[in-house]
Amino acid sequence: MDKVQVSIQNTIPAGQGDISKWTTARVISQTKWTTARGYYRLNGQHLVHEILFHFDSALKGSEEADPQESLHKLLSAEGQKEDYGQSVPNLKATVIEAVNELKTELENSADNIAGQALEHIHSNEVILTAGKSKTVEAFLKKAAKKRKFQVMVVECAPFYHGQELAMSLAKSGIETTVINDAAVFAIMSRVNKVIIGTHTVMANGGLKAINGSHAIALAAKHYSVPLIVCAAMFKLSPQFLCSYDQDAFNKFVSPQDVLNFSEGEILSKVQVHNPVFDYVPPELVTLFVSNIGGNAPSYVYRLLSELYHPDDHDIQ
Amino acid sequence: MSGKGKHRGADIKQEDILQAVVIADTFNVRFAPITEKKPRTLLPVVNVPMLDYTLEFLAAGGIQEIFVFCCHLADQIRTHIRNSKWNDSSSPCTVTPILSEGCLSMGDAMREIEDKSLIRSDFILVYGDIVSNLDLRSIIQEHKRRREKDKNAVMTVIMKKAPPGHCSRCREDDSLVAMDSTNDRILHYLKTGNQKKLQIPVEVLTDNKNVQLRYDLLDCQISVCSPQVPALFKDNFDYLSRDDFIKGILMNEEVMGNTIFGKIVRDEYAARISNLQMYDIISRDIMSRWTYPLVPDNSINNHDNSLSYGRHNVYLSKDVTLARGCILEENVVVGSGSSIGCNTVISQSVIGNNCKIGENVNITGSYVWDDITIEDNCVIETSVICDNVTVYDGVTVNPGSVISWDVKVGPGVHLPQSCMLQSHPVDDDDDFGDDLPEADQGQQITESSPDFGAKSKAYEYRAPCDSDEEDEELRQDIWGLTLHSDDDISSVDSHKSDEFSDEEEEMQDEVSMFYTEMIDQLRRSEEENISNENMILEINSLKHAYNIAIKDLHGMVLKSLIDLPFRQNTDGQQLLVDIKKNLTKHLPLLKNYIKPNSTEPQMDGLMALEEFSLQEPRINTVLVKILHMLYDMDVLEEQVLFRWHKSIPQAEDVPERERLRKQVEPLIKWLQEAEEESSEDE
Amino acid sequence: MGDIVSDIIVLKSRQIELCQTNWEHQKDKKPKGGKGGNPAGDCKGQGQQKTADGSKSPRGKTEDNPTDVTNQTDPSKGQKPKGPQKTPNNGSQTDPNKPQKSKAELKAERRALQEQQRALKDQKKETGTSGSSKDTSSASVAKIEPKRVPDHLMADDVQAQKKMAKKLEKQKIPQRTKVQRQVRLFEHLHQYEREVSLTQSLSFRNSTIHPAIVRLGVQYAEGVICGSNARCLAMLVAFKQVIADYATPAHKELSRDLEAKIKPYISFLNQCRLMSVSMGNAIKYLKYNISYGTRDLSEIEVSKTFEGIKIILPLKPSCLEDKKIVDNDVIVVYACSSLVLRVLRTAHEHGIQFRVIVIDGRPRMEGKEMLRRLVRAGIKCSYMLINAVSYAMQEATKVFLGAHALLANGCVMSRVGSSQLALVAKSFNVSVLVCCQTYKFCERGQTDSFVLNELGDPDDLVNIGNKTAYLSDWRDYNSLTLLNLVYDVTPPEFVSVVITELGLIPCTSVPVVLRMKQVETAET
Repeated sequence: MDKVQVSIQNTIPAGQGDISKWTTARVISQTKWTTARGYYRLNGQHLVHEILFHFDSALKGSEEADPQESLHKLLSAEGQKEDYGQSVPNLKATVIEAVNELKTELENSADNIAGQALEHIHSNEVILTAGKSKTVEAFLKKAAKKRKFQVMVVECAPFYHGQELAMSLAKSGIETTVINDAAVFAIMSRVNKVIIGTHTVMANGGLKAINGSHAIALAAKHYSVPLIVCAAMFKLSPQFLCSYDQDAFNKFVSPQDVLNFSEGEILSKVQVHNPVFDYVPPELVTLFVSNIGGNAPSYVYRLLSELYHPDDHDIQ
Repeated sequence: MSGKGKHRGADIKQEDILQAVVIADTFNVRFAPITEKKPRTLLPVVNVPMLDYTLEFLAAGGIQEIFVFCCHLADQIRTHIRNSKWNDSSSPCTVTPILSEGCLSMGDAMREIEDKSLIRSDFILVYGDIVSNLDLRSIIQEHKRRREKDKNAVMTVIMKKAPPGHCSRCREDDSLVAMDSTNDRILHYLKTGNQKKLQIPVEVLTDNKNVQLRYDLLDCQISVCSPQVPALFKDNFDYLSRDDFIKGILMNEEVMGNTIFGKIVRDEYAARISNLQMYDIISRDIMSRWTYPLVPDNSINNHDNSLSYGRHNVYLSKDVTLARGCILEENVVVGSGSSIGCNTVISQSVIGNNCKIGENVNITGSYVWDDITIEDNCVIETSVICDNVTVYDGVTVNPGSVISWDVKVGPGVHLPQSCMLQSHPVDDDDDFGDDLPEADQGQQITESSPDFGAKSKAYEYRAPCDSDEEDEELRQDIWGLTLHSDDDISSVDSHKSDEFSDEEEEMQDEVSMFYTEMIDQLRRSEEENISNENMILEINSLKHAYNIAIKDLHGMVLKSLIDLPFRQNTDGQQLLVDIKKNLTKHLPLLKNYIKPNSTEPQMDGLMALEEFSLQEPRINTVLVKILHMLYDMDVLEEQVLFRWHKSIPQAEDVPERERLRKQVEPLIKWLQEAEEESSEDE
Repeated sequence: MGDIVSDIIVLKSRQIELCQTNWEHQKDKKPKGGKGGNPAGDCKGQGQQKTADGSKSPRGKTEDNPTDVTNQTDPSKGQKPKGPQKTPNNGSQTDPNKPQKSKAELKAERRALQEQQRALKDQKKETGTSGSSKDTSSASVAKIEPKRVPDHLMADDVQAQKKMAKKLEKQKIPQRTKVQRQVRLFEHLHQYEREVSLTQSLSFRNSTIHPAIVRLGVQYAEGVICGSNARCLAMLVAFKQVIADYATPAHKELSRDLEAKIKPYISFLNQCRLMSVSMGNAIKYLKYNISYGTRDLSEIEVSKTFEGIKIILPLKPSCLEDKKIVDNDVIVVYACSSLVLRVLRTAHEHGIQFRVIVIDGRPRMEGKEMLRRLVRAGIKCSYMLINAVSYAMQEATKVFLGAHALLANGCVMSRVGSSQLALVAKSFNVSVLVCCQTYKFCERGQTDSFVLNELGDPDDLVNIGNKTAYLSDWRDYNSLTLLNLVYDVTPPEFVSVVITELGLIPCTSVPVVLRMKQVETAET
């Protein structure tokens, strides 16, 4: 599994969906155990949560078929200590089946979300988007088949995914304008909607999205422009954010893209930071569009219970 | 990512597994005295052994088989590898240590590898102290493609673009490369060292179009080699290092047809920890995340003590104890189990595991390894402190210091700048000879403990001077000295005397060459018994050839006559006899140049003698006798001698010259008293 | 009777005039014979047709009557008409069909006739000019009101562009080629293609532009001089040289001629790069001084006073700022502002310990320059791109922004991205201080960043360092446009205080200061 680890570590966030799909493929192909004792340490932590949940549901399969739905049950449930050493036959088969389901869900989520596009975009709109999210790309392209609208894409230095997205949209004939991150507030007064994708949805409805999303969300709030987030269900995470400096919230990559290493002697005297993610608090988000429909951010915590078992919220 | 699987499959089909050779020893003593106990590649950089960075880098590049070549303290490396994650079954590559005690250079290592026939295909050749996040795959692909077209493309050298004056440029590795910009072939390769003028053969420029002379490249010492490389090393026994190899290949290009290519990397990070200064720089780069993903919070080591990243590049382990009021400013790493006391300020430093740091301590720019106790009120700046050291209260460690294993220092001591301490006295028999203390060193090699505090157990370590070999040209980066700011070309304070003498440099090349020629002439004349007239002819022709001024000529003639016997033996008494013999024999020669009743030539001769005696202190003792001899032979006259003696020395080393004159004083007095006794005592 | 006669004479002469002009204009000539009224009537008819305006036709109908009236009256009075050809016909013509009208009726008719003549006269004027009658009427209207919308904001108005092109041609200034595809929202702004050389078409001998100005223009266009203070200063220096080289030609007044000379320079600079507000204010001040201050002075004295002008424009900010920066401050700055740099350096020299976070935005990356200068001054700095501003703002205590201009409604016009910074600062409760000199205050009011802005070269967005450019062939796709704004407008609620050389003022006090300044200039 170390190869997986190494390669995940080495990739800069490209396509959350890709990583998830690939890791599940590996998981399926390399399961070797019958007891539930081993679990993999992956970086896509919420994915692990999912897999774990399926473990537990498979284990408890005989006893309690339904996951705990009511809030009261959640509160009053005691910590159930399962004997993980017990050998359960067919565990592997059940888990593999569950993981296969997960895999199909991963593949279909983008289409599912795109199907709701026409409910949210009317004609002659100006839509702002940032970075490159496959979900949003599919969303916009689906809507463009029936309606005519304009898209403004924020290029999102230093990774410049926005430029890729703009090219792709322009190739499909959507009227696109590329702007740089600094012009977001200036443009926002003419924008009708902001549609962005995200890396993770936190348990309180906040977002861990690409860098710059917080500024976009603030500008949208200032001009009362609705902020729509397209995110599939598997991006939900049971973690809360207590402070911005929380450990392991943000990922900082090489500052090479911000200030070139060959700039010379100034480097030793200056600190350069290149954070990858940004936190967007839930009050700035208007709507989540996911494969099960549209939701308000205040509802997200309930959705968590359907996905994850409360015991697994903390993996370390 | 799935492409990697395909790639691997294809590899297996062709039986071309990617291999790498890691030379875990650099065959020099830049890190002494630390490396006496632990091999260099296991020294921790930001709390992770250097070797791990290299292995991580290679594994990320898709290398499947790694050979680690260890010489010095090889067992430790072997144990380390055995206990590491690289030995797990889930490891993506196999790491095999190769032990060889007798290797003295990289060339030897390559020859052994060739003997063992370990290399089957293209391989990467690195030292064990590389920190990099390069993507090797694309470079290897390029190399392979090139090799398909041209079997003789022997090596691809990877270089990083870094303008001169860049902070991560190691001055020892400064090089000038002439490259063909169309196909990146290396045409000429020079280590600049300390030279201000460089020489490039004209054929490099005339035979090729599109030549680029690059001085802005940093040689990472990473090379992609073809399987022929070890064989080439074996064929040429004098290849000691990779640079020799490159130079050799370039020189023999027409004969052998092998070519070397270069690959310039712009955006990624690659550097080699070749000495303490680079250690400092690279540690800081790692903490500033230039080497992402090889960063401290990415758990390279797979231990459970992964670090958490905070603002301003402060990495804290999970079980660190920080007292109130302690300030971790920026670029700080604190290892697990360490505790830091109140009001301590730490910045730009790495603290290892299980350290206890007291109160009111100020640590800046230092690297404190494991199991160290630093008590209250200490100040530590720009130093390296190794494992198990105890620093008692109130010690000030000044920049550039290295405190080696198990040393105890203090309390209340101020260590001098750039001092290196070790826990046992230095042995008298070093590997590098020179058992007699040299007269002008004037200091003892070992210092006793009480100088370092009442409770201390420390001995000062002097780096052995590299004797006059080719290493003379290498500059030693002196760590801890402040650089002048705001210069594009940072200059280092050279108050520390470099091993190679400046004076030789200042002397014109031509003059020295002429002089050596003349010495040879004289020597030959001894052997072949050339007559003096012929000698005169020869010397004259040499003079014209080298365009020597008459002034210099006089001086040099005299000097050479005295120098020759001097060079032949060192014994005092015999020396004098030889000199006399020589002088008498070549008297006509001498008289031809230093004619009697001509003051100027005589003055020149005297000046030359004076210079000579300053250079060679042993002449001092016999100088008086020589002058006397010359006087007796009527080469030198009294007037001239008086004048010289009275003249106030204006050149350098005034006190020395004063001393000379004092030495000669008896002679002068005697001359003045004009007694005509020939005093020949001895 | 006499006055009636004179009236008639007047009326007749008017008719004659009208007929003459119509005769010149009409293409089909009617025979002179027949009723006297006919040629006149025809003329009038032609006149009517000429104007071809529906509104004039009712007049045309009434016109028939006066001819009849005159025809009738003439023979009744038995007057001999004067001069030209057609009138005798009128005399001989009698229209026995029409009954004789009463005096009152005649008077009314005459008055009506007069009205019509007057209207015809207007028509004549209008028919005299070809085609653009509307323009003249609106031009006459426009002459009364001052021109509110400057030319550079009317890039979508074809008329205005033509006029400007003409003006530039007259001044012999090269005109830049417009870019082919523009963002729809900004079609009213100029956007030019980047050209190889602006000065290609300028010849040395015939050029009306002083070489110092040419050099200045090229420096502006290439971005060598950038930043409002720098540009203004450079411009003043160039003008100083212009004035020093200036010699009044004979028979011309100094102030008028100098002003006329400067006009083409200003157009040229405008073509190179849009004038900044600071430059605009400086030019206004300069012109004012030239016209009023230099009435009787010779050239040398002019240049002296001009130097005085330069010094008057103050460039030092208020010194109160060091009370605003305290120890352990973390100050966020954006891009490069010479004023903010000076403030920080002064504070550092006073020994205050603070840290600076420099935020930078593409594509100009001016923050790097700021970073270099700060590091050289010995200040501890960090550096980030604008998308990391939320991360930076968490530990920030103050934000210092420079300004390009301060508008009359309190908005701050500054480099694009400043408003975003101010917004994020507000949400983290960090105070925003804007440093601006009073000469940059502007009477304009603006609510958004669209109406007046500058559009930079879109190709600047394409280059992304060493990575492969995604947008390298953006021109091939019709639906893709790139937008590179230069300025944006920060609303006053984000700004805590403005630091000027007069002291600390809130944003909304800008009109007060402007008024004070007007009073000052009126007094001098």
